[in-house]
Formats: sequence, C-alpha cells, structure tokens
Amino acid sequence: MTRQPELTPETVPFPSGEPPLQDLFQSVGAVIRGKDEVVHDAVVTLLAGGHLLIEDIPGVGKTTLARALAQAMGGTFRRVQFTSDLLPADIVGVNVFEPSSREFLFRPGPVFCHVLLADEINRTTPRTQSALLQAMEEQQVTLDGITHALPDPFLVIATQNPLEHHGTYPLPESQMDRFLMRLSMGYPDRTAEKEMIVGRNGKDPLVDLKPVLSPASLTAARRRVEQVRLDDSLLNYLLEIVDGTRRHPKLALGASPRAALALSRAARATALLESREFVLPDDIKGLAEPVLAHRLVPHDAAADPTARRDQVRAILQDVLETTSVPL
Amino acid sequence: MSLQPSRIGLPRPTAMAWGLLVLCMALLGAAINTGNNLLYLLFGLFAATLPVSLSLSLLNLLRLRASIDAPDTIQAGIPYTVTVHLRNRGRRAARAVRVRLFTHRGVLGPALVERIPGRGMVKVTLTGCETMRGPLRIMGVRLGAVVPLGLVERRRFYPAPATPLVLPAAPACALPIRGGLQAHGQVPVPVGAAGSENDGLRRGSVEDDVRHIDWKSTARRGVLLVRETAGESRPLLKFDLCTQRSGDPHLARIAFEGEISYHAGRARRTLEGGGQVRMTVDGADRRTFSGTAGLPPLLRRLALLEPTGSDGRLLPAPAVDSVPAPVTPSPLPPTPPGDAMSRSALLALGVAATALYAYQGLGTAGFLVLLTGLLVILARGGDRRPHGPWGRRLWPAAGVLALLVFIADLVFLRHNPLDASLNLIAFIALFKMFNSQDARDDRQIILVSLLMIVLAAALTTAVSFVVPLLAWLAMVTHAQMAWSHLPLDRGRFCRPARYTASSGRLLYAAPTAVAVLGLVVVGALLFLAIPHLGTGTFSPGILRPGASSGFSETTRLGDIGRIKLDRSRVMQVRLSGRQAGGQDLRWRGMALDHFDGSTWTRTATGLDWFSAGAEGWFHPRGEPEAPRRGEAELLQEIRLDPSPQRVLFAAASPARLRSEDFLFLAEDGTGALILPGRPGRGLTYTVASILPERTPSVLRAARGPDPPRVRSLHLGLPPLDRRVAGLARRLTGDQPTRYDAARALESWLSGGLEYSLDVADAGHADPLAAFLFEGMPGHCEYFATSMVVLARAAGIPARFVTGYLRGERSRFAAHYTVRQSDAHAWVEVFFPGVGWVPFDPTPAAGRGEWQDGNWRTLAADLASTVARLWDDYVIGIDLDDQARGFLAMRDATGSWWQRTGDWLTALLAQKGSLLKGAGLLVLILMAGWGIWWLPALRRGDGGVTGVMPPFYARLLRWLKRCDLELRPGETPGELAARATCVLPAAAAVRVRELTDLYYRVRYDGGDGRAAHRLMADLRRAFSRTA
Repeated sequence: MTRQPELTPETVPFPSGEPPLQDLFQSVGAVIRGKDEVVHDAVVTLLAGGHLLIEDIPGVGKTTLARALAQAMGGTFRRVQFTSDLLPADIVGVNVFEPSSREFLFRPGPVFCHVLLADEINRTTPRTQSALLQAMEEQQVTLDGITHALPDPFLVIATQNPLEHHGTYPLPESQMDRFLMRLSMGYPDRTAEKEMIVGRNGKDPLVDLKPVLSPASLTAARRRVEQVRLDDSLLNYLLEIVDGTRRHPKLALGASPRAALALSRAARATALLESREFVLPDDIKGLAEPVLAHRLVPHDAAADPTARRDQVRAILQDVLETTSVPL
Repeated sequence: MSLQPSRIGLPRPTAMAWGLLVLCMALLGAAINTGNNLLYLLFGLFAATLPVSLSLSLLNLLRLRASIDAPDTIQAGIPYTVTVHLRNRGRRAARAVRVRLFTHRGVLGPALVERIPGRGMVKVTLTGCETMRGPLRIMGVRLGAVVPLGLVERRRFYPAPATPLVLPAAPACALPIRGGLQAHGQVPVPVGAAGSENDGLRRGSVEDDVRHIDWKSTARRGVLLVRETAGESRPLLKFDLCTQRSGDPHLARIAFEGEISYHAGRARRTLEGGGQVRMTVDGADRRTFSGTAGLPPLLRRLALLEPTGSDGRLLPAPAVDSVPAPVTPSPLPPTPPGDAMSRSALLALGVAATALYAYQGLGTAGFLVLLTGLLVILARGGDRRPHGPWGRRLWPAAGVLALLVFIADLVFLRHNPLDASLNLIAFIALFKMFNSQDARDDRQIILVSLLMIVLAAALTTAVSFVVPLLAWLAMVTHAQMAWSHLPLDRGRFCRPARYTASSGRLLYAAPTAVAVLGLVVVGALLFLAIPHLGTGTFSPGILRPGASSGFSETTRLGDIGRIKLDRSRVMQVRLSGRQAGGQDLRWRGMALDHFDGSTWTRTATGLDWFSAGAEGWFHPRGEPEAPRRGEAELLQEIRLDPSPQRVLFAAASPARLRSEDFLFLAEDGTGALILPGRPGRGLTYTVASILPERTPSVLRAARGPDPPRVRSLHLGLPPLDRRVAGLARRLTGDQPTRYDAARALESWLSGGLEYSLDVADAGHADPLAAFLFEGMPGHCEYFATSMVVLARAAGIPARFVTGYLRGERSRFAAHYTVRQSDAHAWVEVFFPGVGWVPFDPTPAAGRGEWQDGNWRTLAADLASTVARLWDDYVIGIDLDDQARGFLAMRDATGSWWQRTGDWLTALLAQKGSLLKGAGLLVLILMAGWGIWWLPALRRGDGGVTGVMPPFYARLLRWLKRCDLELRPGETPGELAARATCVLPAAAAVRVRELTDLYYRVRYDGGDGRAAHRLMADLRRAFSRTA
C-alpha cells in the first residue's frame, strides 16, 4: 500500500471540497431581498480581498448589507459610527501610560478585527478618515513609530450617504482609491419590497443569519482567487480599459494602476464565484463600473453626486464601447 | 514532467510579411502593366517565400518535445528557476525557438534557443520573478517564433497535464537585505567597505506607492535609482551598475545594455557563464562600497522588484549629477548589425544587375557611377566603419549633390526619368551602405538592391539576369534567416554571444540552401500558375538593338558576302512533325528575277494580301489542301529576331502559316511571304511547308512549253561578256533534258571555281566575267548568279533566291540557330508541270556545315540553348502556353491515375502478392493518418494558443447572416444574450452553449471538439423554426 501524501490547504490548490461561496451568497441574499447583483458584487469584493464602499440614500439597506456580510463571513466584527468628533485614536487605539510598569501600553482600537464597519464614513473629519489609509492598504497600523499588524483577513465596509451635505467631509481621492468597489443599493422592486414588509413580521432577519465562512476559509478562498487564470489577451483588454480612462478627454483623473490590479482581482473572484477557473471578458466588462467609477474624476464634475455618477457612468460606457474585446 | 504538444497554432504574419505582400502586389501590378514576364517571375518568387517560410517553421516545430523540471518549493521573494528541456526528435538540428513558460501568475521568458542539435536536448532555464507567496501552477510551455525567413510566426503550446504541476509555497522568509549582497543559494559576497550596508532600503511590495524604482541605461553604464518618498531618512541612493566579465568586454557591455530594460530573467540568460555584476552605491553621505553578485538576484534584492514591469508608470528618474560617475569612454563603436559581408554582397549584386542594363545603353555618367560603386564595394570588403571613410559631414552634402545631378540628368543630359532614377538609386545604395547603423538600414539596403534588380528586370530580358537574381535570393534568405533569429532591442539587433559572422554563416548555410531551393520550386510553380496578362509596353525585344543588317529586296553582288561575316543571330527554328529535316534544309526568303549585271532586283508585281482564315492560319497558296502523295509536311516554329526586313523565312514552300504577331500577310507571286511593314520587334510564327518528292525521273519527264509569264520574266539577260553564251552552249548543248542541263551547270560551277568570302571585285568592270573566266574567287552569290545567267543563256527559265542555310543544330534541344553567317543564295529552275526546283551551285565549303567542334562551340551551343529555353519558358510564355500546359498536366494526371489503377489491378491479380498487398495497406493507412492529421494541424482548436478557434469564427459568420454582429466593445457573452432576443429559443440556446464552449477553449485551453455537433444542432434548430 502506498502512502498517500498529506493533503493540506497549502499543498492542494484546488481541494475537492469547494468553499461554501454559494452559501455565502445565498445567506446574504436572504437578508437583502431582490438585490442579487449588489450582493454578488459585495461577495466578490470579499473574495478579492478588497474593501467595500456602499453609497446610497438612507433606508435602502446599506448597513444591513454590511452587517449581513460581516456576520456571514464570521470572524470578529466591529462597528464604528463615524461622527464629526471622532478622533484617529478612537479607531486605531492609544498608548496608555501604565504607572505600575512605568511604560506605555498599547490599547488596540476597534480597527483590530476582521470586519470593520465604518458607518457614515463621510461624517468624520479628514484627519480621522486618514487614520484608515494605512490600515486599509498595508493591513497594519503604526502608532508612535511602532507598527502593529492587523488580523488576516481584514475588511473595511464603509457606508455613506452622498446626498447629505451638512456636516459631511467628502472622502479624498486617495481614500476612494483604496476601496475596491463602490456599490449603491437602489430601491428594491415592488415584490421584494412587499415581501420585506410582509415577511419580516417585525423580526430582524439578521438574527437568523449564521456564519457560513471562517476567516481561515476566506483566506483559503482568496488564495484560490489568485490561481484563476487570466489570459494574456484579457489582461491586455483590461489594461486597454484602464488606459482608456486615462486618455479620455473628459476625465481629469483616470484609473490608477491600483485600479487595474483591483479590476483583475475582482474579475478573478467573479470567475471563482461562478465556479470557473478562468476569467471571461464579460467579467472584466461587468465589473468595470463598480470597480472604476468611484476613482474617476471628470473635468467638469457636477456638484450633485447623482449627476456626477451618471456623468462618470456615461464616460465609462464610452470607454467600454471603444475598447475592442479580444476574440 | 514531460508534456504532450497541442496542435500547432495558426501562423501569424509578421510586419515583414506584410511588407512583402505590398511588394508582391506592386510587382504584380507592374507585371500586368508592362506584360513583362520577368516581373511575373519575380512576383512568383516573392510570393513563394510565404509558403516556404511556413513549411520550414512547421518542420522545426513538429520535431520538438518539451518537458519541465520545477523546484520543490518556492520561497517568497527569492527568484525560482524552472527548467524546460527541449528534445529534438529529428536528425537535423532545429533552429531558433522562443520558449515561454505559462504559469497562473504570468509568463516566464521568453528565452531564445538558437540551436537544438539533432536528436539532442537543450536545457532552458527560466527565472521566475514574482514575489510569490502562494503556490505556482504551471500551465504549460509555448514554443514559438520559429521564423526561418522572418515572415511567419507559428506557435505550439505544450499544456501541462490535467493534474497541474504545482509548486507549493514555503512560508515567507525574511530577506537578508542587510549585510551585503548575496545570491540565492550561494555564499554571501561581502561588500567592500566594512560596516556599510544598503540599509536605506526597506522591503518593497506589490503596488507599493512609496517606492519607485527606475533604471536608466546608457551605452556605458546602467544607473539604478531607488527612491523612497516616505520616511526618507536618506534622500537619495544612487547605484551604478556595470558588468565586468572576462572575455570580450564588448559583448558583455552589449549584453548588459541590451538586456537591462528587459525582464530580469532574460538578463540572467545572457550573463550566465561567469557573468558578474559589480555594484557601486553612492549615497548622499558619500559612503561608497561595492560588491559582486549575479545580476537578477542583485536587482531583486535591491528592490524586491516587480511592481515595476515595463509599463513606464514609474516616476522619471530624478537628475543625478552630484556624484560624477567614473566613466571611461569606450573605444569601441556600436555593434555593426547583421553581417557586413552579406550586405556588401547584396549591394554588389544589385549593382551588377543594373550594370546589365547599363551595358545596354545607359548614359556614360550613370555607367561610371555604377562602376565606381562596384569598385568601392569590392575594395572595401567586410571592413566597415560606422561613418565611412570620409566622415559624417560629407554624406549629406553628397546627397544634395546627388539630387542636383539627378535634376541635371533629367533635364539636360538624358531626358529620361528612368535612367536618372537609376543613377539616383545607385547613389542611395552607396550612401546607405556607408552610413548603415542599425537594422532599419539593413532592411533598406535589401530593398534598394531589390529595387535595382527589379529595375534591371523591367528593362532587360536577357537570360543573364537570372544569375544575380538567384544570388540575391540566396543572400537575402541567408541574411533574413540570421537576422530574424537574433533578439531585437530598440530596433537594433543584439548579436547573441555565439553568433559571429563566420559561425552564423555556417549555422544557417544549410537552411538557406533548402529555403532557396524551395523558393525556386514553389516560385516556378506560382509563375506558371499566375495568368500572364496584358500586352506590354516593355515587350520582349523592343529594347534590343534592332537594326541588324539583312537582306533587302535588292541584292548587289557581294552583299551576302558581307552579311556572312556577321555572327549575330537571325532566328531560331524548331522543327516538329517530320523531325529529320535533311541536310539540304534551308530557309527561303525571296526570289529575285531581274539582273542588271551587278544587282538583283525584283520585278514589281502586285502583292496579294490576305488575312488569317479559320483557326488563325494564313494560306499563301490559296485553299488548304491535303498533302499529295509523295509530299511531306514540315512544321516549323520560327522565332525571328528583330530585323529591318519585311520577309518571313520558311522552308519552301509554305502552305500555311500562323502567328499572333501580325494580322495581314502578302505573297509576291514567287513564294516569298511579305509583311505589311517592318516589324520593330521579334516575331514568332508557325509555318507548315510542303516538301515535294522530286526525284530526277519526275523532273526528267517534265516537258512542255513554259508559261508566257515565266518566259517573260525569267529569261531576260543584261549585256554580257560574249564568252557566257558560248559557255552555256558548251555545258548544256548535249544534255537531253532540262534537268540534266541544270545539273550539268550546277556541277560545273561547284566543281571548277574557287570559293572564298574574301572577294575583291572592285577592280573588275564585270565581276561576273571575272569570276567565270579569270579565276576570281567568289561566294554563293557569284555561284548562284552565274548559274542563273548561264541557264537563261541556254533558254532555261531560272531565278536567284536568297535565304539562310539550316544553321546550327543544338545538341541539347531540337532547334536550329540561324545566324547572319548562314545567309545564302541559290537558284531555282522552272520545270513545266512541276514548278520551281532549287539547285545550289555553291561548293560544299561555302555551305559551312557545323562540325562537332571544341569546347568553345559546345559552350556557345549550350548558352544559346539556355537562352532559347529562357525565351521559351520565361519570356515567351503567355496565357495560351499556360492553358496548354495545364491541359497537358490534366491529361497526364488522368493517364497517371489510369496507369496506377491498372498497375494495382495487375498487382492484386498476381499470385503470392500477399506481401505487396500488406505493404499497400500500410501505405494507405499512412496516407489516411496523414489526411486525418493535417486538418488537426490546421484547425488549431484548443490550447492557449491565443487564437480564436475556427468554429467561433464560423458562428460569427452565421450570426452575421441573422443580422447579429459583434458591436464595438461587445463581448461574446453579450452577443449571445442579445441573440436570445432575436433568434428562436432553441437556436439561442445553442448559441449560448457555443459561446460557453468558445470561452472554455479560448481562455481555459479546453477541448473544442463538441463544437461541430453544436453547430449542426444550431443549423437544425434554426431551419426547423424558420
């Protein structure tokens, strides 16, 4: 009898047991009714290892989606309600002088978790917003010259209401760029809304949501995302799109190299979510708007966020239509 | 792990091929316009390069097998190497293969393998450059860019087996950046200054926006700049990199210069074999240290590279000028690209080709330019300097001068744009050769020399043109083969270490021979297959010097003797039908009837004009008639060179004649065929002559009165010496018949008088009397005139005939070459009831039969045969010939099939043919295998070949007919979704399935075999509902 080699997640890139990605999708979808596309994109962000910005008017379920995601993927979950008087220390943590040992002790802030829900992120000052920059990009925070690593996986889900102007601070471009996707919920359709009212019966649907993933399995799934094949021609296609935004005459700021990276990761994650081991041009094209739109700045940007979003969307559509798909 | 090859991808034409295509089209256009068959031939040759290139690359790829050796583990941040073994299964060496390794993280390579020995193995090491954390999945190896002529690129993918080869990841390890430079797996090399370290560098990572890495390389040093924009305690660190390598410093420098902008994996390739990099770090605080390491680990370690890539998104390097670099200027000039010798030879050939034309009448100035160029090229040989012997300033000035000369040439000297352009082109060629710096110049030289040859082709039809053309082909093929296998860097060929001019020449000699042979064969086939249209401006012959001397309608005594001293060719005659063509075969021109004592003329009679009758035949003797009993028909195909005379020559007496070169023809009543005007060009005609059987008995029996017309014209005599009449009476008096009398005159003349071409008749008032009675030597004209005069004096009607003797019969082909020296004159005597019968009183010495001679005559014969073949099969071939050839081919094929069938039947009917039957079966099976295998080659489904599988192209064509076309920016998936709205449901489902299949094949290397069935289903579903 020959000895079977030991199978561990490290040595087996494609274990026979599929990670329950579909379950994740199902359970989040059970909470947010009739918004399959948004849920799909949110799960893709999760898989791609990016951060998510949900932007819409109040009452359409932004926070519910964020909470559902956090709850479904398991791991530690913290929520910070961003207000105008919030300070960086409130997020990152503080060094406290311990009189007994006569040295400073670090008391970690809420950022030390797997999922951080930054609710109404635009209500806080740029100073506090910036506290998240390093955490989001490097998955570590530095305080007084000492760097503390954050847990893995680490995910920021931020929500904001674009229509409110009073007492808000728009996110700077560098911060926007760090979000892999920006999603908006939109109103539910009639049946979904009816079902929501009738089916809820005053009960919070989040109560029934059980974690379907663990942080470890999410890490494994993310590793699998990296193995999804992205054909050279598709990579060129992707770069053509990105380059198209840079060359577009109506855009003041095109997509960054990070955007290209994000788009490729998101496309890979989409392929994995759809049980494919290779990326399709449709994946890239479909994700172009959620991944790229929030990073683009038009020359004559409209003041109204909704109008501005439509403006960017039209430009992006223009870019997509002029970029030829590889055959 | 050995890999199974997939099907070979479709060939991809390179830019060079497109250029060639344009050239081919231009040649074809010029050929149709001018009707010059040489241009058709050139077109054929160039069009043949593509299939030849294709088949050579195919041969190379088919013989190779690949296998992979990968390391057991990968450590984060440390470059790993994967070894690809290429095995050549053929006996001959395979050449120039580009290897790429596909992993799920990207592509490694390409690495160029110049030569894989026959039945040998080559190891290609590819270095991964990812800062890998996860495992690596190897998807396969692609071999490609096997481009023996630089025209097509074919690729073959070797996918990894279904169980992917995975290199497991090891836990990330901290990199020992501090403490000096070290190469992976080697003992760390301590840096020079103790305690110094490149400690300003922290570990970089992908998408690191505070780390910018850039390296600039100049000809003599590479500068690597690493700039930290955050936490910069050290404002700037500057690294000077330069290679130090034993052996040729020139090569090492080039390798570095050429490769630095590439992937590090490539740099490693060129530096392996002892290459070392010395690094000097100059900090702002002036601490300097240095150490050595292999280049890629060094670069990797410095920066933990790899967000860099080559996308130019790095910040521009800041100006570094604080520390002057210790640069010693290199004494060596830039590498001369390509092979200097073959370039010089190419030009020399072009010049030689144009010299052919120049020889035929280019202006003196142009000829001098060409000659000087040729001499300069020959004198210079392979030794070349970058800016030529006269410095770089002179050439632009010379260019302006050339332009002025061109204008002056055009306006004042030659008035001919063609000649002036030729001079200019010659000048440009010289200019390019002395100034050539890089690959572009080389290509321009190829082009210019080709232009010269094409020009010569358009202007000449001589067979000698073939020699420079073939030599040019060999040169270009060789150069192209060598250059296309060299790595190209910024438009300049980097010569790999192993390639030197001499080794390269040997390395590519055999493939060049094969390629040129293939070119000639395929090109000849193409030449015959392209319809040769048009009647050209530059039709063959028009540029030949036309005014050769010849007969005219009046002949003075002594004229023919002068003509006979000329050796130039008059015509070529090919006999068909009765091949023998006896010794006394001769080509009759014109019969002259009036002699005034010194000059023969023709009594003006009305010409009888007629045009061609049925099937294009002229009938000079009226209605076509079948040869009577005792008569034989001799069919001659005559190619008459340009001449100033209007007479057509043929064996007597022509019954019918066919030609496409003229529409009308006249007969002057004496059997001579007259053209309406003087032809400016050569003529080709086929003529059938009736050779009557005239035995002496028939002629002796001929009696009766002569027709009055014959008597009135052919008995007249000028005032003659009194002795003539007596002589005539004495010779013919006692002869019983007219035939005997003529024979007596003939034999008396040929037997008793002296023959010589060197006739000095100036001193004689009556040259004929001097010839007959005073012992003056004479030639055929004197003999013939004497016989006519004597016959007429005896009352026998006779006339003087001019024409040509049979000429030289080639020993290599069934044709006669007739020259001016074969000019001849003889006599025709009238017999009542029979007609005019030829007699020749000239002695045998004057008929100069061609003897088996020495090597010189043999060589001349061979040259004329080749020229004749060239004229027949290249210059003279037209649409008719082509059609006839194809018909013959069809017939031949048909009979071959029939014979094969018969043979097979006979074979199978034999007893004990079991063994043969088995052999036959094997043959049939092999053929079947070949047929099965060929479409597999063509189809190219499957594999990450990056090629759209043909079934999807078919689907797109099909959808287009349903008004469903891919819009700009639309993906196949979106098209399928749109099809759902337009097509019937069953068909739309099939479209969806086909699209999914296409995606699997295209992006996952899946199996596309189901496509055939799905397409059939789609058609069925659509036709059912429609």
